[in-house]
Amino acid sequence: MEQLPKFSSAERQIIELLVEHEELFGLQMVELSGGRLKRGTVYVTLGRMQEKGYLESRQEPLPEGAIGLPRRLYRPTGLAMRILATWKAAEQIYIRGAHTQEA
Amino acid sequence: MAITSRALAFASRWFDPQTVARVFNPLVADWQREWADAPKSRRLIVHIRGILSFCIAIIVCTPAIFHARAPKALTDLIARRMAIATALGTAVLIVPFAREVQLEETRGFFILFAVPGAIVMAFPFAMVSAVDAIRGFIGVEPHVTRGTAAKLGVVAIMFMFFMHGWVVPAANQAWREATFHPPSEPARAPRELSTFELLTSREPATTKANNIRRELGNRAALSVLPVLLLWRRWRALDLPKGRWFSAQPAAIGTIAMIFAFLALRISPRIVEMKWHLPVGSSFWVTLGLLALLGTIRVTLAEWSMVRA
Repeated sequence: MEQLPKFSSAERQIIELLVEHEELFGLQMVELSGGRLKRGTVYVTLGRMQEKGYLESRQEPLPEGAIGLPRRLYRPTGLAMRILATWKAAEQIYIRGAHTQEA
Repeated sequence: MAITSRALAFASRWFDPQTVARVFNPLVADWQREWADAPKSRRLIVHIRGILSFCIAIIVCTPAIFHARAPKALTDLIARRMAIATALGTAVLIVPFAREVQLEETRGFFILFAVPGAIVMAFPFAMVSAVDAIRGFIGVEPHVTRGTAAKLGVVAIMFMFFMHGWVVPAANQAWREATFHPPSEPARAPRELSTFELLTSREPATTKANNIRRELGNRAALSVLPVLLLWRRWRALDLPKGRWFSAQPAAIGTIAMIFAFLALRISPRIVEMKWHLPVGSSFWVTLGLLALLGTIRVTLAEWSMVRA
């Protein structure tokens, strides 16, 4: 049987943020994470997540008069949403099981 | 925003296009926008934070540099050029000393045991030929070229560390044992002790302790020397051709590097004594001066081009 793909804590954090806000820039994710995502590593994580098929991205159209590179907006793929939902369900089952054993 | 463009250009030289597109482009784009949106008083902070995050991303992505595979034809060419240059250098270093060995029967021993010592002296200068092979190879992407040079630098350090730390001391000791025929094993000088033995020796603050420190400094500096010569040759080949500052052909460049090294190798010992520098630092002074000379040459070349 194929194993359920795993998320690292940073990957999960990113997916949860994107589920909540739909589309974000890398720097916005760092700001919204409250310090849990770091500027230096978030782009590397985002790049890896794109490779794994967890994220899609598009370039933001440059505002008129703006200079520099266009920023990249990220959003989760269906695969990432399914994996997140499955892990959340698994966690609920585990927590319920632990409570039953305690009782 | 020149700093962000420079950062991106740096990343483009070292990393494959996919890593640049997925990691460094978004990082720099967000950095640029943050800088543009920030009030003037905060722009310096934005740049400092941007540089820090860029440096962290570079460190995290560094393994990707080593995953860039060079074509076999290139690695074969580098190995061939380095082997030839090292063999030539070794022969040049050994022949004059071999001729001085008095007894015919010990000459064979001498050549055998002197080879490792000569190799570690000749090997760093073979980097000039290696760099020329890498830079002259057509049809390889810039990140692969640089990745190959980085890998070569790491291999060179490991080779020098192993050779100078274990093989040369063993050969030196074997030479002494083979030639002096004492009743007991001849005393081992620092040059005949492995790096591990030098590091774990518990000599009090005596002349021998100083000699051990000097030997360790020598070995560490010689391990770094190939990378320094690689960097110098690389920078020299970046300069335009046909000018006074241009890189010379590999053979002349190698000889010039050897003379520069030997010239700078003599004076630092005096500097160490006169300026009361720590024992063993003279080797690092030599490397520092070699690096300084390389930097001065490039700076003068750039200045000369701007003026022209």
